[in-house]
Parts: sequence; structure tokens; C-alpha cells
Amino acid sequence: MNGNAIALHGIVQRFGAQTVLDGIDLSVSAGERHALIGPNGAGKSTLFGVIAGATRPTRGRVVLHGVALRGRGPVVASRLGIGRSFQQTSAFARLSVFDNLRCAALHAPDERRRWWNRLRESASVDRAAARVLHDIGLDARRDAPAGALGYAEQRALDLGIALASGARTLLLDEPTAGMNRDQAARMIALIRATTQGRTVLMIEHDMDAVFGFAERITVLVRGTVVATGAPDAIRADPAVRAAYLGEGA
Amino acid sequence: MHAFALQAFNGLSYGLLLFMLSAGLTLIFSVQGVLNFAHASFYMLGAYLGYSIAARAGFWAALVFAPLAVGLLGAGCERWLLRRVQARGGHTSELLLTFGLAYLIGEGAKLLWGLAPLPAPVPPLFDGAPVTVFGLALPRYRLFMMAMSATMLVALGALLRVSRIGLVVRAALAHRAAVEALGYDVPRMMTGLFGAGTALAALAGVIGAPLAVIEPALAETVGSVVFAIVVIGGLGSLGGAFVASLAVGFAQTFAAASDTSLRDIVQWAGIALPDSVAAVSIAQLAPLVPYLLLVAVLVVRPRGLFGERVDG
Amino acid sequence: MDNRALTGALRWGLFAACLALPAWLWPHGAVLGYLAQTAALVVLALSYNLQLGTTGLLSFGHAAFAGLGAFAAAHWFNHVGGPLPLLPLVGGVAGAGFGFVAGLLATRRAGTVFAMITLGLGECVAAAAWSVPAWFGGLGGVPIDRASGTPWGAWQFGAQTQAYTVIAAWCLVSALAMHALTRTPLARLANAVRDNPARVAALGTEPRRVRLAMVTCASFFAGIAGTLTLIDVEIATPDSVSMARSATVLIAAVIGGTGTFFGPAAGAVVLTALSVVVAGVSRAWALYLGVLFVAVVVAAPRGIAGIVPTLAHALRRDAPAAERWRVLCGVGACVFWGVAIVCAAELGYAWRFAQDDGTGLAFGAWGIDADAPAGWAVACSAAGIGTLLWGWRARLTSHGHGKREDGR
Repeated sequence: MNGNAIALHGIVQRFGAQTVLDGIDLSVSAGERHALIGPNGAGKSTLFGVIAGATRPTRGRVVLHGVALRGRGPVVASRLGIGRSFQQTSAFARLSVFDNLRCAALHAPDERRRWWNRLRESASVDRAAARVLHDIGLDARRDAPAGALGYAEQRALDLGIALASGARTLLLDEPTAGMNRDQAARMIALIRATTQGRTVLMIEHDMDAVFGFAERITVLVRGTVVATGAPDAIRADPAVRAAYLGEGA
Repeated sequence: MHAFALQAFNGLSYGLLLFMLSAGLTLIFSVQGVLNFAHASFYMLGAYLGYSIAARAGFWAALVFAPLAVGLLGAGCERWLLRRVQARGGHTSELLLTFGLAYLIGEGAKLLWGLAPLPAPVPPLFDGAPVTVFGLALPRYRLFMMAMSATMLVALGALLRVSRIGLVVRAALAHRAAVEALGYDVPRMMTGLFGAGTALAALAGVIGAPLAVIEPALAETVGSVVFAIVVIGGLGSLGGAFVASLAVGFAQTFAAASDTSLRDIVQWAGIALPDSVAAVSIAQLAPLVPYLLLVAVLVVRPRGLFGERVDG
Repeated sequence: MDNRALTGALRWGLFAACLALPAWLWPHGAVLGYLAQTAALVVLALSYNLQLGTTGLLSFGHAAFAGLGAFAAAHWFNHVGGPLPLLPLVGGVAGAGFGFVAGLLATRRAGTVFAMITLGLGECVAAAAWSVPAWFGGLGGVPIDRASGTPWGAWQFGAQTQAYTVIAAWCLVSALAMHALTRTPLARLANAVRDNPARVAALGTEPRRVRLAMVTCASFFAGIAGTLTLIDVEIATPDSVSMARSATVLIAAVIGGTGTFFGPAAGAVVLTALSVVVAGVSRAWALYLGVLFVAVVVAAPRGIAGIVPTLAHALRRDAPAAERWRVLCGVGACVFWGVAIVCAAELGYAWRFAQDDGTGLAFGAWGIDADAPAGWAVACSAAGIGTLLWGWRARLTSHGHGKREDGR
């Protein structure tokens, strides 16, 4: 598979007088595992919003799997293959875990055309949801309301919803946030196992997770890309060290 | 020309009366984020209480004590009812509660003051001959009411923009936890401000009462119009409420006074309507004006003319 | 699974029995009229919950669709005729049409904006009903003659028993249809839109479309409900599109509980009972309704449908003593407060009417004078006992171990 899953050209995002993203160029190849790192306030989540179509950029072009998004919104972005997990767990609190996944599986590329799936339960949708339920390890919590899950379980469900939607490209926003080292390691392993063959763009602060997972890393500082490349190159880059790595981890 | 000027004056005075009501509602929304469905009921309560107090102690006593009493009631409702509901999250429960309060206050008013409409007398100070301005005879009481309304706009605006209380209120709206950390008793502030909003409604009720009769249906008729206005102007925007009040005031007054019917309008546009519909006059549609405006504005611009927050 | 299917079948059996049995045992005009009124409100409340409970859309103008459906059905029946049993279908389609148009205007946002648009639209329709006599019949409304339609077999539908059969049948069928609708993936998507519209958009469905679909469905059944009322009273009046009717269905749905399917139906039954039975003996019924509504919103947000399982759970054989006492204290407190409120309201109304008419007696046959302190003393002491019981309950709750019961 060649070709870019995501291609951003000159993305500028301004909110009033504040410039959050200042000329971002980024490309993520299909099937690549790409991490986006940077200090707080660098604009990473905003960038995700732009890629997923939730925010319309002030300037610039978003191209998803070769098709320009042209500010048409999250629904079109998802049709173009984008799936997203959120920084703050964003599931359907009053539905059961299984129903959460069924809602997501309803939107898989081959299922979403079938309008009768809205009116009648579909065995294929149920099967897909059950498969994801098993993959994320929440079989035991199948009928629990999503709001009643523990934190790590909720993050897993969040990932599961993105997976079940059948997206080719996954935007994962800090999947290990708030987890201890064991939980984080398990989460990364889960992600690696369930995203075979898909493109993953991940925002992360946990450097162990990043360097253990990513094939390429982009460093974002105050709205601009400071460096992008293989993990070793990033670790060695003096600009990156000065701007980010030197300050903390 | 004379008739037009008179209509304009009437429209202005009606608009300012509506503004007196919507000012308090906007204040409560700015503070709490909840649209107080019972606002017009507090208005009605103020009118009733003012009537009772005025019957015993005069208009000026009513002007002071009725808002005070209703403000206390409002603060109590916030403290014991609204706060419990707000803990649950989401605005639906709050809307339902204030809706229920409106219903309950209406029933309470029927119980305490009966079903018959009560005529509120104009205080003797303003009961004199109309003041003549530019050849127009303007009733004194209306001028008083308009003056009060304008004062309210200025005072509220100044309070929210300039004073420290206003600053803290606006901060609390955006970052409640931070303001609490600074040592301000935010819940008590919210209660106080809710009480102030309802007191304003009651004040409007006392002032507005002599211009019409006081009856249990007052809350419904006035209430819906005021909600429409506040939403048209943009929830949380005092300036928007002012503009929308005037717009509705003028539009409704002119519509009610006009002689044209739908037939005249569509004739000009070249469409043919069935007779029964074409015979409907604009005056008959005057009560619909606020709601037509509401739907039109909300469809085009969901946050209202000057609003900042959008729900859902 | 079998257990669930059994309880489900039992519930439907109970529902059908409540519709059929009283009518069969006492086929008098008053009883049938009351049952018909209840049945229509049940359908209306269930349709309202398709919007509120399922999709999270609070509407202040739902009766507009019911009334518009009724008017359309009335005009259809008068000008086109046809068999009466199929008339609710006409009302339903008309209601759905109006609902679709209104939905196009209202569904782009949820929450407060949606509620306000429905308020505006409801007021528009309610006011228009008085302004355009040709469509809405003016003060007199649009009457129909049940017997003038196409007969079905031997039935002409002029008789009230025959008309009630149609109404009850449609009530049951509509309830079954709405229940089936709430089991579809569409309803699940509507739940998702209610919980998290942004996530639904991120998945690839426009929340607006789901809301529009649910509003249209709800308006379809509202139109049916309106037509059932039309069949019952043989007239469609501007009152059927009034804001008061919209308020009624809102109150019924909330009191009954929007979290379960049958909740609003229970609320509709309670409300009709209050507004017909209690209204017959007391002038204060509307006040009681208001108090009940506020009490539910503040203290029992899951409504009647939420309280009943709590009670059943506490009264079962092996319930812990603390839980049982807590529930009993709660029930006791409510009973005493109820007594206090009823006393105060009845005495208050008696005093009010003494001012107006001259007779100051409350409670009819018991003739308690509103001026004498005895009645007020009863009210105060009942309130005091109620507060005491509630305090005990609160203490039991804080002493009790285990998880907190929500909603109470």
C-alpha cells in the first residue's frame, strides 16, 4: 500500500486573535504508525480536530486518502476513512458496551450503505461488534452501561468504538492518559494488535509508549512542526531536545 | 404622520416593558446557564403582590417590597430546588423544573388571588394630564415606565461590565472552579443573582401592572413572548435582549394597528391565496409576530442575533 | 431470556386488559369516555417519549402535531369519507408531514434551542388555530359524525362502544409499533445522539438526520393520538393544538418516567385520573399536579416507573432491614406531606371561595370550616410528621452501607 492516508498542506488555525496552528505540513503514509508529540498547548488536539473535520482550518488543505476534505465536516471525514478516539472518553454512557460497539459497527464501510440495518438487527453488524468486543478484552462487561466502566475499560471502549467503525485511519488522542505503566503498556499492546494493516496517528505524552510503538514521529511545538522522522533521528535532533525532550521526560 | 408617531411611541413603550422582563431573564441565563421558564410567573407574582401591598400601603411601598419578597422566594427556589437538579447535569432537567415552577406559581396565584382579573390603579403621581411632546400627548405613567426600563438597562449593563461583582460573575460563568478556589462562595453568589433576577421580574410586574389587568393568564401570555425575545436576541446578551425587545415591540404594535390583510400583501407579490386565508388581516397575526421572528432567527442563526453560547 | 419474554408478555397482557376489561365490565358513557381520554393520552405520551426519552429532545409544542392530525382527519372524513377505523392512519400521516416540516426547522440543534423552536412553532400553530376559521373551524371547531363513514360489517360506529373499540385497538397497535421502533438500531442511534452527538457525527451519521427521523415518527403517532380524541368527542377544536395540551403531555411523560417504555403511559393514566376523577371532587387538582411534577423532577427523576421497582425491591422477602425502613420512611413522609398539602390546598380554596361566594367549607361532606384553626393545625402537624420521617430516612441512608441508590 502506498499513497498517503493523511496529507496536510499549510494548515493554519486561528481562534480570534490566537494562532494555534501556524502552517502545518504533514503526511502520513497508509499503514504507517505515526506519533505526534509536543508540549501541552502545542495544538495537537486541535490538529486532530482539523484532520477529522470537526474544525474547519482558517487556511490550508486536508487530503484524506487522496480526496480533499474541503471543510465538509466530520461525517464526510469518516466516510473518507477517518476514525477517532478522544482525549476525554467519549462513549455513549447510557448504552451498554455491546450497544456502543453495535452503533459503531453500523458505520463500517460495507454496512453503512445498507439502510435496512437501521430498522432490523443485522447478524453481520452484531458479529463485527462481538469481534471488536473480544479484541479489546471487554467480553465480561458486555452488558454493562458504558458510564459504569472503570477508567482503563472506558479507554479501551473508546478505542473499540473507533475500531468497530471500520476506519482505515485511526486518530488516537492520548490513549494512555491517566494510566500507570502496566496499563499503558497493555494499552499500547492492544493498539498494536488491533490495528494491523491500518494507519495510526497517535498523540502521546508517554515517551516509552511513543518510542516503542511509532515508526515515525512528528514533534509539534507552539503550532509548528519542529521535526519529523524516524524515532532515532528525533531522539538525536538537538532542536527537539531543546524544545521538548530536554525539558521533561 | 401623527398616527405613525403615536404608534412608534406605543411600540417603544411596549418594547421597553418587554425589555424590563427580558433583562432579568438574561441575567439569570448569563449566571446560571439556565433559561428560567418561571420568569414570567415571578413577574405575575410581583404584579399580584404589588397590588396587594399597594392596596394597603401605597404604590411606592409596593415598588420596594414586592420585588424584595419575590426575590427571596426566587433565591429560595434556587437554593433548594434548582441546585439539586443542576447537580444532575444537562439543561433538560433545569428547563423541566422551571417549567414546573411556572405551573405551580400559576396555580398558587389562582388560589391566593382568585380567577378574576384585578385592575391595578395608576399611582396618583402619574395620573395627571398627558405630557405634550412635539404635538403628541404621551401618558405620564408610560413615560415613567420607559424611564425605569432605560435605567434598568444602564444599571445592569454597568453592573455587569464595570463593577467587581460583575467581573466575578462573568468569571464564575466561565471557570467556576477557579473562582471558587479564589475564595468566592460561588453557590451563594448564584443564589443571590437568581434572586436578583426574579426581583427584577417582580419589579417589572409592579411597574407594568397599571398598564393592563392582572390575571392568572398573565404569565403565559407574557412569558412566551419574553422567551422568544431573549432567544432572538441571543441567550446571555443584554444588548441583544434590548434590540430584540424593541424589534418585537415595534413589529407587534405596528402589525396590530395595521389595516392590511394577507390578500393585500400577496397581491403585490402576485400569488393567489384561498379566500379564507387571504382574508386574515395582519392585525390578527400580530400575536404571532414574536414567534415568527423566533423561528426565523433560530433557523438562520441558532445562537440568536448577539448570542455567544450554543447548546447541543 | 425466557424470563424476560414472560414478563414482557405479561406487561402487554396487563396493558391490553386495562384497555379492555373496564370497558367490558362497565360500558357506560362516562366510563368509556374516561377510558378513551386515557387511551389517547397514553398514545400521545408514548409518542412524546420517542423524542424526549429516546432522542433527548425536549419539545414544548408536541400537541400541535396531534391537533393538526386531528384537523386533517376531520376534514378528510367530512369531505372524502371512508371507514372510521382507518381514520387514525390519515391523522398519523398528516401529523408526520407537519412533524417533518417542523423537524427540518428545529433539528439542527438539540437542547435549549430545539425546545425554544418548538415553543415558537407551538405558539404559532395555537394562535393560527384561532385566526383561520376555514381550516380550524373557529370557536366551534370542526365536527364529524362518526356514523357517516363507510360501515364495517354491521358496525356504523355511531355507538360509543363501537367507537371505543376502535380507539382501544389503535391504542394497543400504536403502543406495539412504538415499542418495536424503540428496539431498532435506529432507536439505538437516537440514544447515541442523545448521549453524545459529536461522537455520532465522528462515526459518520449526521445527528440531525436521526433527530429528524425520530421527530417524524413521534409526530406520526401524535397524529394518531389526536385522531383518537377526534373519534371520541367527534370534534376537533383549537384546544387540541393548544400549548396547554402540549404541557399536559410533557407533564404526563415526565411524571411517568422517561427512562422506560411504559413510564409515560403510567404518567398518562395518573394525569387523566387527576384531571377527571380528582377534578370532580376538588378544585385544587391542578395544584396537586404541579406539586407532583416538581417533586418528581427534583426528587424522583425516574418518575413513577422508577419508583415502583425501588419499592418492589425493598419490599421483597430478603431485603435488608435498613433498606426496607428507608423506603417505608420515604413512603410515609410522602403520605404525610400529601395530607398536609391536600389539607392546605382544600382549606385555601375554601377560604378563597368564601371570599368569592360566601361558603367556606372544605372537604364536602366533612364540612371543615376554612376559618377554624383545626384544619390548618392538621395540615401543619402532618407536614411536621412528614419532615420528621424524611429526616429519619436521611439518617438511615447515611448509616446504611453499600452503594447509594440514585433517583431517591
